[in-house]
Amino acid sequence: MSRTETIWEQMRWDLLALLVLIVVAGGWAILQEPTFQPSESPTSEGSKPPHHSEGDVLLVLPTAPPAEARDIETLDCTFGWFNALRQHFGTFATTDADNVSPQLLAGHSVAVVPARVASEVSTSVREHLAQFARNGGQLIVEMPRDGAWASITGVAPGAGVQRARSITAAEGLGDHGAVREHLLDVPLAGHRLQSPELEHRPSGPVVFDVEEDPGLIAEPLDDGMVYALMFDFACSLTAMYQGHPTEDLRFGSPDEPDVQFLSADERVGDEALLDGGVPYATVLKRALFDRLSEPRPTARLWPYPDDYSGAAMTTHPAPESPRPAFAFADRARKQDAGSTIIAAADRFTADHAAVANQTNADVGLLWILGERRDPITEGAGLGAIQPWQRELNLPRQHGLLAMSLQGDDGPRLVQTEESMIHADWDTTFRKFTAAGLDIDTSFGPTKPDQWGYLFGTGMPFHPLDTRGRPLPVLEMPYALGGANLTTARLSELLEKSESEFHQPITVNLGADAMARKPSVGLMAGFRDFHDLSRQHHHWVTTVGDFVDFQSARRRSVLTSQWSEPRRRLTVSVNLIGARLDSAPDGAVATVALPAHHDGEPIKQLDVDDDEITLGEPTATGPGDEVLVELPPGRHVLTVYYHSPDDDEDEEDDGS
Amino acid sequence: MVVKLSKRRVSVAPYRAVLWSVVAIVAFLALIQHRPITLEGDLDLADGTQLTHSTDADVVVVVDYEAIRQSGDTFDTRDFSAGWIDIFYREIGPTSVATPETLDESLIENSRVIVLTRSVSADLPDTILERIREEVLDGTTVVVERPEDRARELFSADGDAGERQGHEITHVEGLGEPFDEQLKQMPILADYVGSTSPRDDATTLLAIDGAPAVYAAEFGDGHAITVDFDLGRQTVAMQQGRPEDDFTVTADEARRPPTTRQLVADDDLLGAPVPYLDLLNRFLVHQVIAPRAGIPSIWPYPDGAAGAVIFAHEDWRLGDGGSWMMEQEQNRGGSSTLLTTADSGMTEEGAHTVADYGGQLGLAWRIPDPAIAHYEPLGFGSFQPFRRPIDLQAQRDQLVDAIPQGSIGTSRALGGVWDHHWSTPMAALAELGIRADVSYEAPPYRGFAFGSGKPYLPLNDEGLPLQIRQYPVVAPANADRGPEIAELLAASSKGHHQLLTIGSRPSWYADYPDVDRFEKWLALFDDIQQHNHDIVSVSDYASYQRTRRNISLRSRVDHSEALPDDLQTSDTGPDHRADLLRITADASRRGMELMVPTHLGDAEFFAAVEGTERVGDDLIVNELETETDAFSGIEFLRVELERGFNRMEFYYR
Repeated sequence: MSRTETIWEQMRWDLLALLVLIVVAGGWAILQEPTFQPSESPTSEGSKPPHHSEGDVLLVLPTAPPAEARDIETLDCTFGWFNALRQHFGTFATTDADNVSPQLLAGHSVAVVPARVASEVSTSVREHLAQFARNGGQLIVEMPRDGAWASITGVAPGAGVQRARSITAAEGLGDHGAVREHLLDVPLAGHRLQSPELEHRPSGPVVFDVEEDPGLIAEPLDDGMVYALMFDFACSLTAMYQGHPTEDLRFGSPDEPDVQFLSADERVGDEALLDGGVPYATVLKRALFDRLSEPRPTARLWPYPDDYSGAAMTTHPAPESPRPAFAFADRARKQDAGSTIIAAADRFTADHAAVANQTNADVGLLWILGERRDPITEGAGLGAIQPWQRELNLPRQHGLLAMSLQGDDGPRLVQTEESMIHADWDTTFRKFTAAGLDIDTSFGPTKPDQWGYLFGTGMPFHPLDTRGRPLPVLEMPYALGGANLTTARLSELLEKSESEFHQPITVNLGADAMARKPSVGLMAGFRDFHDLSRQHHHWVTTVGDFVDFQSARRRSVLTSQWSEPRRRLTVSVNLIGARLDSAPDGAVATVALPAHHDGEPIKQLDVDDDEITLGEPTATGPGDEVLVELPPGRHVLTVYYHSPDDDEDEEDDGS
Repeated sequence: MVVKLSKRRVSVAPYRAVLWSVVAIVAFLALIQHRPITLEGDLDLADGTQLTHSTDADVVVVVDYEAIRQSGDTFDTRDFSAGWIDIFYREIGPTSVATPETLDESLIENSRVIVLTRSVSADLPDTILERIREEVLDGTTVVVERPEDRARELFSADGDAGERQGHEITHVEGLGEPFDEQLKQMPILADYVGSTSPRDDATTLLAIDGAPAVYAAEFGDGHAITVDFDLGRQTVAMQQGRPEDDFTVTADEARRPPTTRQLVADDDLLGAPVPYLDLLNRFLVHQVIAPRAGIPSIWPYPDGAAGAVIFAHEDWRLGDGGSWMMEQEQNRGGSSTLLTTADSGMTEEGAHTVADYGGQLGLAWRIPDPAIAHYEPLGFGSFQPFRRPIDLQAQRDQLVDAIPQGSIGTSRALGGVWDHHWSTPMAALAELGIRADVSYEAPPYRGFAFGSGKPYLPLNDEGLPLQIRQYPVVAPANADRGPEIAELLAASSKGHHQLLTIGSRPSWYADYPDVDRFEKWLALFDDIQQHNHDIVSVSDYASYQRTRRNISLRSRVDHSEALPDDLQTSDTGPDHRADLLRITADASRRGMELMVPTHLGDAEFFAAVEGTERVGDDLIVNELETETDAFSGIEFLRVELERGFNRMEFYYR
């Protein structure tokens, strides 16, 4: 008998071969289109910076850690003061509220009590602070809602707390300079305290109003002065710096809760910030800090070395080939200046690093998010078979770029692709911190009709996390980008910076600027950048050098004593210098002294017991300041101011 | 009994065959889907034009297109007489063009200069030749090119030495320094006709290898000028390039198409600071013909400009951003041309921006050669196993679709990449209605590699004109050798009076935003202004030239005419007579200027008047202001024309 073999049985090897072919073809197809695996970057938390014990200005910090905030109104903005004091004074001291004592206060001439400290401070500490003011110190109290402050501040706030939106009157400022001109346009955030109506200075104590109620009240207290800020000063600054979120500390439209990234300029809460050459955060700070030189001269460390009026820097993000960025960098080199190329890790090789060296360019990391260009990936699989493409997260991108840079710890500066930031309060900054990055330059105007200080300032600041703790990374906003750079705008920023606002001005000109939105104005603006900056007496430097200088400025020490009878200000400094590529002889912070007190100019200035010739005062506002350049190390400056009696005596002698 | 089981096998061969056939077919289809089959592209070509044109002009050029067609099929044997037409368009302006059939009595009688090109010199009917002879005796000037038979007998030397290959110009009469020496440097690309002896009554004006090549003789009251070398071939070879004899163009690299660089007729022309062809043509028209015939011309640039500059911006990647340089050109009072590819990303908005800048949009085209073409897929639905080069029409249509308000009349071969055939691209462009092409260039050299900066009418393989003009690029975008643009501008303003087309690539700055290059570009505008050159787009330039060619311009010479009383002085006595050149011109726009010879034969310019007016009992003449200028070393008078009808009288003594 015989059994018929089926066709399938006879063709089994053919079918097997066909199956193998299908598997091979399928595998090949998968390899042509590997599966993308996104990645996440780790985050880190903010932390309280270590205390500095010495400084003319003392910031009193809350002892207990802050709670997580739900919105900007509940955010603890204490460290907004940290940013403000660092930017304006350079060096200052900090202490916990529990440590405040008469002995500690004796070494300072200004004490700042942020809102949370004002509401939690003990009676004894409050009394120490009051005595400090009575003894001649200047006390700043933010949001003194506790009635116990009334006898110190001279004002008893009402029971209600309202929203603070804008400053509505500024006659009490007295002067008619840039601060008064722009103060009413400053956008505020947070709350304000209601208080009885009071007169504006000189007949009353009110310096300026917020929502038609007293906003800043200056009351003498025996030999000293007490400044009561009746609104969330630090939160107003923080909202300008970091953006004004809507609900849940998020940005963007509430109808689009799933949007992960937004352009940095979409965090700006007020239209007044979107175009123009006015740094409103600086205006608000000056409205307060300039008052400190009224009862007695208050010295500080000038924000720039020598007598520069400001600083000018360029950054060049290169999401694709860095070659165009080298053209910018080479131009800067020919102008005896440096620049910063912000490179994508997968497009920057060791050869590029060598060229960057030749063009004196620093290199930062462009964090590719895969939003506007392909993400940076690496194959994953088995051997040569890699059906997955895994996205490199921020630390991996940092490591990849570090390998190309060789010999360094890796880039310390970062910028996000297209200035895209997480649509929440702090995730992006927490990722920077976790990756060990020091400086971010993502904040700035990206659209053609936006330009200037969108975040209220050109100075760097530490972003706060949702608990109000500062993150170690510094955010350094830029004022002009490739889409909005023109010579006219650059000139306006530099002019106003030189005469009024003294800002660091960063131009963020993308390597692809002339591919995406080429224009004569863009090339002309960049061509004119270095000459114009020098014409307006701005320090042409790099972002890295500028931050290093600020760090040296922060580590320096300045204290002072004032003798009213002798009209003598004694300033003791310990100046730390920084050796920088853009200041090879060293960059040391200059001491800035008020050029006048009570309308009378400086009569004599001794440095380390040697009398020196005074230079022309630098115009900074109502008082103007004299800048004294000194080498690193300890120095004592003794400043004698003329007295009104000196004029009468001279007249008497004359007759 | 043991039963043994065995398997019976059914034949599976057919099934196996079907299975593996299906597999093979699927594999093949997958392969061609992945690597499509390339189909050939084809180009529709325009035929040459038998250009004839009768207008109010002093000059008529006579060509016989049939004779041209019947001439040899190779480059060396083809008759390029049609090249004469554009010479007079460029040098004079208004010019009539006739064939033996259309050369009627009116044209013969009313023309002051009759140009008998080689194509007619041999076969013109004796009756017409005789009629021309009578007119020449009466004062007309005839120009004959390498005449034969009766025409040679009448007007020229014997020509018995036959045709010879020319090598160098050895004598130039009447051209001042340095232009005479410059002209002698011109490479000779054509034959000349030698004679056993020169014509007795003729003056040699230009000699090649010591033999008279251009000579003139008085003929009654008129003149007979003989051009005894192949000016048509010299012109065409120099300006349009010299291909192989079969009209093909050989590329430098194998498997790559040629570039226009390969069309340069002679290596000595690379980086040439002198526009040799223009110099030769100007010599012929303004030094040889015009003073003898006493004919005016129209200055080639409006508003008295010394020359013109065209910025030709070529782009394939910036799209709308490609027009960014036009802002500066507009700010400096000029306009320019952006030549963009169909796939650059140009949108309607970008086209509006170009228009807002006062600029012109053109097409940068890719020849459908496999080495550089872009392809469009062909197939059925998502199965597209074929691909075809995107041809010129598709490229043009794609760009026109993006700019629905406009049309495309100007083009450029992207990167100067040409076809393997000499005239094919221009015939294809002419077929599409493109009227100007800006492709001829010789990088890395700046200079007049094609003999001139001015546009010309190209000819096809049959020797017939194509309805398009080619604008040579004097300063290609990627040039780094040869005379600097500043030198070219200076030389142009001092005598050559050229159109300088400067190539640029707006995307340079996208690749490397070099501030030094940017500053150099900005400084160029100051240079251009300093040398009194206009900055124009291709369409602006072409529009003015069309107006110039269509102007009505007539003249007449009367000898020994009485001078008006106001012009009579003791020096003009005792008879107070002069030769009078009367000119009428009807200008349709402002800003046009007349060029008038400074000499009429041996007589020198004395005075010019524009009509008379009666004041009381006196007839007062309105004396015309003239300015003496030089065109490649040839002096002439410049007179502004009013818009509308102008009547002028020029007196020579």
